Amino acid sequence: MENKELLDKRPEKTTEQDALLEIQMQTAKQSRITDILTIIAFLLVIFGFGIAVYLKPADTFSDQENRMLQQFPDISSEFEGSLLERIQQGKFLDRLIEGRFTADIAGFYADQFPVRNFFVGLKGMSEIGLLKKENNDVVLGSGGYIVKREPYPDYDILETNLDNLEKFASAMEARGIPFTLAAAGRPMDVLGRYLPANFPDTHDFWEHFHDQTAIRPALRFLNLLEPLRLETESSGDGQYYYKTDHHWTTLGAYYAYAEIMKSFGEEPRPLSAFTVEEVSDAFYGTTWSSAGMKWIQPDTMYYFRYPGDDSDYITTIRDSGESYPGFYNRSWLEKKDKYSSFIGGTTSGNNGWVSVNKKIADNADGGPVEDRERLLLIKDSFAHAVVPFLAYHYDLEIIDLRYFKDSAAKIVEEKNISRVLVLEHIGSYADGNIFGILNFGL
Amino acid sequence: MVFSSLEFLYFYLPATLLMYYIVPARYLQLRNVVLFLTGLVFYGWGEPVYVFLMLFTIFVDYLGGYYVDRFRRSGEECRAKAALVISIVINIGILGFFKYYDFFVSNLRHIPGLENLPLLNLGLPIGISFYTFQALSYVIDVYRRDANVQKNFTSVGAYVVLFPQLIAGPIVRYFDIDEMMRDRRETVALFASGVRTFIAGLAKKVIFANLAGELWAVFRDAPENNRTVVGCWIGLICYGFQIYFDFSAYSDMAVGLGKMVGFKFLENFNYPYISKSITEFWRRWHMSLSTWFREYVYFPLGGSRKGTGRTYVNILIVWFLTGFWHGASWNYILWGMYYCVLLIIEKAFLLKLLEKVPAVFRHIYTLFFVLFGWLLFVFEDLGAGMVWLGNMFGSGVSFISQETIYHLTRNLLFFAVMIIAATPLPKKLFYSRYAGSPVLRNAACAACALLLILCTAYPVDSSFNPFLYFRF
Repeated sequence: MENKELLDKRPEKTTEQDALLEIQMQTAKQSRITDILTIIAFLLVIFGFGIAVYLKPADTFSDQENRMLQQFPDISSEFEGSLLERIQQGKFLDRLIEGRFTADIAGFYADQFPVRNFFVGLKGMSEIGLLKKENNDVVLGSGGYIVKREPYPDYDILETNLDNLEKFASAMEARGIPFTLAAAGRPMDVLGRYLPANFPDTHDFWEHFHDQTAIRPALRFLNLLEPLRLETESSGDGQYYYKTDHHWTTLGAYYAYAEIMKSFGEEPRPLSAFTVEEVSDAFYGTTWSSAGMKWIQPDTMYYFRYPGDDSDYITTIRDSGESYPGFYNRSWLEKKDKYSSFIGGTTSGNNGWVSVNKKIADNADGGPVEDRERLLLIKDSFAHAVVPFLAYHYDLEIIDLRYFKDSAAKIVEEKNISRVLVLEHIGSYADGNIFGILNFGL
Repeated sequence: MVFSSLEFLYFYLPATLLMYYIVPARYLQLRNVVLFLTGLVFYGWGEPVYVFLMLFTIFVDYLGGYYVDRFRRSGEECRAKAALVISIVINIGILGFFKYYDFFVSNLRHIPGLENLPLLNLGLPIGISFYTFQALSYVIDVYRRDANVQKNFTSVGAYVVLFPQLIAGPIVRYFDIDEMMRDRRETVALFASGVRTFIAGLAKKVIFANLAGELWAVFRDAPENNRTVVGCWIGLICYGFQIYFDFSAYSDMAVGLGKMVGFKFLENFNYPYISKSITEFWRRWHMSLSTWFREYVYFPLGGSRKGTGRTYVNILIVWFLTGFWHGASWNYILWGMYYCVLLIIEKAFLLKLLEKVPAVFRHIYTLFFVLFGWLLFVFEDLGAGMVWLGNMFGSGVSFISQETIYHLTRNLLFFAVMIIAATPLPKKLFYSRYAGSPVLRNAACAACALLLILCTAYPVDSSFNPFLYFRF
């Protein structure tokens, strides 16, 4: 320290840096053409894409992401109306001053960047090229499967949810209405055989879930993971979950339905009772959207049709009031989100309250319905593919607690419900406090 | 705005370069005006309202420099000193207010009777820790006659808000840049070298730092009952990689961008993880900050010229400030003190001892203590840090799990690449071949463009947020 102080106030430069700098300067002299090319390449990229963002027509909606895209912010609205008034109200250039204008420009660049899908795929290839087996938490499995690695469950939330469910279940029991709590496996729970070596299994979570339901006897727990996992492990070619989506296939949904019926003490209809209709061979699921692995092949989607016709059933979306015969809104088959065709509405595949009833034969739409046993199905989207099977046995009132903002108890009363089934994938029981609303108006 | 964002790469940067080079080279003053104005846009991008704070800072330093110079010329030393002190107090005052007010208040609240002191929760103006130091160096250097007064307001402004190193350093000293503000030559060789440095830095940030950070987050966010000994070590090592690649990447990008507009900044990092002692580590890590503290705190306090006792006190002051500069929280102060103790021990006897030890042990020793430094640095909650430390040594957790093995094995190649990238090896190898091989030179030129495209893919991808309102 002492010597340096006296010598020079400039920070010492280390020898390595000096050496490197020297080489760089030497090469610089020899490589003027390279330098010019480097600069041209650099400027071409930054100016090329920078300008292309504006030249290309701005997209408004991203199918793959299922959201609206940011447009170039319009500052001219700042100058509309009386300036003096705006200044007095503090509204003049407020978007600029608060940084919202610049944030919108950033959003515009992100959302409207040219050849976005190419870049998304390039990043995916780069990650897989680094042998990381994953991109954006999506695991590249074998056999064309890609599987989302789900976050850790929150056990505190799980207990709150189960407490709320238990309260509701006890209230149902008191009215003589049987209650079943079914948990579906997520792809990562079921598809172990397609996942890389050492992929962490989720036994602990399921075991914990088991224990927690066991100490709440009112919750009659039905495990829908095990049967499907065993089928998947043992079967060579059966596909119970989509390769590119986070749902089970229609075949998987059938097995779930069979388990549900058996747990009710009823006989499920045999698989042979259905005719299989291939409705799409180009289903790119939600996992595919975020995976950035563009080489992964799409799924094929099937409907399992009743013999003859299912048009004597009617699906009613209570949120929007629309209804249609059968269980399928086939307009979704033309879009990316094909899974929404199962009991989907026109604008959304997810609705707060949907009814599925069997009409008296030869009756007009909306007319009186057959008097059948009525099941209240509290569910997430896993249940959508199961609904066509259950509808054979029950009239269904289907509520999704993320969107349903009314009293479940009221439905139980008004619709004369005789059985309750909760059917969600296991993660949703430990993800957010969504079951509290069940006890509203109980 | 960060350098790795799309709006910087494809909006701000091309626009700024265009405006800069549209001005003919002979009007350097006008080019400085372009840098001043674009710097303000850069600074105000996230919080436009702070532009006024920045203008005030520049104004204070401009006047400070002006009067310091004037009084020194006329021999009014006391007044010169007063002007210097006023400008230091205002600069440090602004920094203290925005960065440390809440810290002091939340500590004062522990005193009975002061429980209700209000917190302000102010957003920190971007880069304030960096540009405050940089601005101070102008007035001090003028006072010390290390640099000439700058009578042009926009040139002082351009120096303070120079966009390349505004947000994360290197902390440029006015002394080093005085000449360049008045006379600098933008050349093809310098620009091309800037492009290479910038893209290398960009790749470091986007590919290495961010991915190391993701991996660190995987281990950090695991519930406590999922932690393992190996996982805690790997996680912290990932953090070590993240902070190095992130910070040095910003410096590289700053140096590269500086070259594009004709400035030659000093390097800020010199492969710190190859150090063989803590003393050496701090000669290689964030060099511009160490230099700043040495120049403007340690030497003025007397450095090591006033006896051993005083030397240690001076070292203590410098490291307290270094720690505190990194953040308004006790753990940063502790982190500074930690290095203070290590450096004093090394200075007192350990360095001499180390020289007799094989190099490999010296590397292990250094990395080991640096790693524990990061433990203090990363956990603002000391309790959580101590739990993590316990976990690293097996307290209450299993040694390894399936999950740890999974994350470890799938990142083996990435680790190997990061380790190599943290040494001078790639650069040496490249330049030793580069000179003699036209093929390699042209390949490198293509590689630059491809790497830039790849580095664009990452931010594009992270903006690609499948919005799954129907998810499950």
